[in-house]
Amino acid sequence: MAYLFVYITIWTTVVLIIGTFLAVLVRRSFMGRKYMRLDVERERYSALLATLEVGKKIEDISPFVKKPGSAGWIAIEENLFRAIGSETGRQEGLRLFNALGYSDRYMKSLSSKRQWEQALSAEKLGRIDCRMAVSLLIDALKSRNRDLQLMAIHSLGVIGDATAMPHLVALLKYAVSAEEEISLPILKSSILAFGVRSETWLLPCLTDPDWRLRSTVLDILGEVGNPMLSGEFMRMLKDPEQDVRAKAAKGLGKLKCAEAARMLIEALDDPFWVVRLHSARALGLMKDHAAIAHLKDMLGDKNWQVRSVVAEALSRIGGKGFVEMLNVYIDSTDKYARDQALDELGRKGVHGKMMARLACIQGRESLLKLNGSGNPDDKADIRDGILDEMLSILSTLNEFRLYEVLDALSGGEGKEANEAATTAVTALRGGEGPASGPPGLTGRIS
Amino acid sequence: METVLIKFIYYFNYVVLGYYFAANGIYLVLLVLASGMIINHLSRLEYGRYQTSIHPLVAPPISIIIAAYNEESNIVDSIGSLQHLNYPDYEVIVVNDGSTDKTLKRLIEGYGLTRTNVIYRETIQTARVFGFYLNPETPNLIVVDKGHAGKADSLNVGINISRAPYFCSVDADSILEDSALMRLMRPIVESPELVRATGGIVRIVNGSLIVGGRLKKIQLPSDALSRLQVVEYIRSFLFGRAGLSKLNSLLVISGTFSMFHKRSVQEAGGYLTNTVTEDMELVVRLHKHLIDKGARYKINFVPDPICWTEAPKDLNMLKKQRRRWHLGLAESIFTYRKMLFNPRYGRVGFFALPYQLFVELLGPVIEIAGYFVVTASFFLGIVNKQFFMLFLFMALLVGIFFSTAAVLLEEISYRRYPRLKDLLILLGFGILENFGYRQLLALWRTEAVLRFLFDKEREWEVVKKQGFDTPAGDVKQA
Repeated sequence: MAYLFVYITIWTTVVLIIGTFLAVLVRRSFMGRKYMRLDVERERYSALLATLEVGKKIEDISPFVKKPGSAGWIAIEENLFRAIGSETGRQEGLRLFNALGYSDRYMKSLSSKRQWEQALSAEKLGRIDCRMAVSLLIDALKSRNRDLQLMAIHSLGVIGDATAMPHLVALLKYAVSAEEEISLPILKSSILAFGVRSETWLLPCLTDPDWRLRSTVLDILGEVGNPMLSGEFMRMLKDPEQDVRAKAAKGLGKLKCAEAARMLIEALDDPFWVVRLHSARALGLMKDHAAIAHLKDMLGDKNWQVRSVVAEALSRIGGKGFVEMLNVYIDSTDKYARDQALDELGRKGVHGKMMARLACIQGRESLLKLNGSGNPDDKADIRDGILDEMLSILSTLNEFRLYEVLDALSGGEGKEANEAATTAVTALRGGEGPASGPPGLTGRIS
Repeated sequence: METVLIKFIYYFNYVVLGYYFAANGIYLVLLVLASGMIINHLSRLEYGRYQTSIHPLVAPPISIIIAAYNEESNIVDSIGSLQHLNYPDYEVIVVNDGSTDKTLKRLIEGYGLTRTNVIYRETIQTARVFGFYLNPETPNLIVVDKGHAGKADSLNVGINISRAPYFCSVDADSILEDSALMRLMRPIVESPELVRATGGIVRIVNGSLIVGGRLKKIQLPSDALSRLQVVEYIRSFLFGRAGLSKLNSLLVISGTFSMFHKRSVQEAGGYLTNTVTEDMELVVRLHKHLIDKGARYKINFVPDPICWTEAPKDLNMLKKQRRRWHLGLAESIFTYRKMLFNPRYGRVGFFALPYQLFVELLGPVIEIAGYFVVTASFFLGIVNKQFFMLFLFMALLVGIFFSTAAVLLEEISYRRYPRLKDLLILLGFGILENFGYRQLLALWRTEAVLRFLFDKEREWEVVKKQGFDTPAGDVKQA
């Protein structure tokens, strides 16, 4: 019995090994031939792509009519897809997709028994901008084939036919309540592709009782970025639900809505940290100089994520934003605020930029060499006037404190360089002890 | 006494026989499942290109974390290869784990970094961090210098300073394909609430041509040891992990290249530093944490060959690597032994962990014991000579079958070795690995199990690698 079992196993395994070997070799040979045929066809129809890319029309399409699935069909399809990627070949390429029967083939495949083929066809219909397929793709939104549904969502966005919008928004309503069923990122991406045209269907959702829908819709509208909707965003900044307020603040930042600055500054006091965070980020995006003083106070927020975003906002505003962060680092008694200011000044390479500026003012190349900060042009994103103001602030410090600040700003590296810089900055005040500003600089400070 | 010994040997033969068929039966099931999964994945790849046209703002940001310890030969090239990734929003965090060579210097010089005071929030407790290095011109690269405390600790440092909701751990000696992040993120973009971690296929880069940190031409290595490892990696990834992933029973995602949902990992406590293989331990803990929380989740395997890494080129290094991996497996199973056959942990408790214990961990021990006992039985006349030879022959054939089946899967899927000669070499080494190589691996793994049981002072065995540019012979051939 045991012998029989072992013999059967041996023979079965031998057959399987031979089968596997043959399968590998046959597959290699089959694929080799397939690719060879395909290469021949690609070569044959490469002129088609060249013709389309120079913007020429194909008058006689009969040489390009091929049996679906054949090497010729695939080679032409590849060339057409490449052609529609170019500006000049796009229109004619799209026409040929219809004229040569590709669009019909893809539409038929939407009801194929093979689910991958269905999804692939849906994706291709999007790429060829096939408006005839919109109703079929809308039907596919209800498909149980998840891939087909995803590709239909995506392609409807790519095609951008307005008749799809109510269906996509209906799906969005469902998706926010059943998060795991439909991919929200892909749905959002699809709706975003409609741009401002999506607003007609999205705006009514802002009064929906489900806050998750209001929040998601605000998020999408924020990315759409229509400044005409700033009033809606400002209204939603008063929403009772914190997530909605946060998305409203985020959207206002994207819209760079200057009229909302006052409301956003008020929102910096919101009890919910995400609202404060997005309000600070929005003020940074708007580059609102009037917000600097308020943001400066927020550097000591009890939430570290808010502090971090506030510092980013101050450096995004730039100019006085950097000066205030330096002031906070030097003067503040709040350790968290000081650390956050130092973090941001370090990330933006302020030390190197100040040293480069110092070297320019004094013609002291040695400072740059010691510092290793390299090119004086590195300071490009912080204006000279601001760097002068920062140096002026530093020059008011006594030598010990000045060295300490420079050391912290340089990340504790370059002792020799910081000593030299301490001497140089001290010299700016004209040797009269701590002063209000260096004589060499005060004239330039605005 | 002699009778007892003979009886033991006699019955142990049955144990070996039973175990052998059970283990290979499971492998066969995994092979079938993996084939289905790979065919499914390949079909889905065709329309995966849609990802390139989705709105960049919906792609979740990623932090790529690289733990580097004495990687001066590779580090600049490795980071260079990351700059070409097709993904809209990612930052790179390199953690220098107290290297004793010039790793940090190479990074500073290579990327014009300067030391900067950055706030370090120790959400997960780590060893002391010495400093942060940044270049304001390349704000998406940050280098952290810290005391040597191992890869797990370095990854925890990376998680602590990461600013993205997902992080991807990448080994410093690895090269990613341009679409690697995009492909690894696909399951997450499609089911962001469900998928908490994903891992891809790691392939051996030895012998391939690398220019400026990018893989220019894929070729088989010229040395036999690397070729044996190529076949082994294909088998392990293509049907081992793909099959287990199909059952949502994946307990190992290679630390060489894996993606995690940061908050889930933080809630689970980050990487454990006192284990020798932090990647498996984390995945098992993540399963436990999510099941305990009652969360619906998936940990996915993406069967795409998207990450390439250098394999050890000498037996001594290979031995150290494999002993470490097996020791880590033993530690992870031992640590989470309460999950074994615990109904609360469902498929993980009833299949994934028992599979790792009985097939992966104890398999080599039983195999090595089997060689001794069956040989003893042969000489003691307990088993028939003909039966013994037949069984040995059968075992070799089954081994060869699994190796060639893995090569077949590679051929029907990715065909990364396009020359017929390479394919024949792979098939040849698929046969050859059953004559000595597999037995050697089983011996080292058994050593690891014995060390786990009897050696309490286990430590991380460092595997030294030569760097991408060192094997001049290989590169020149390309």
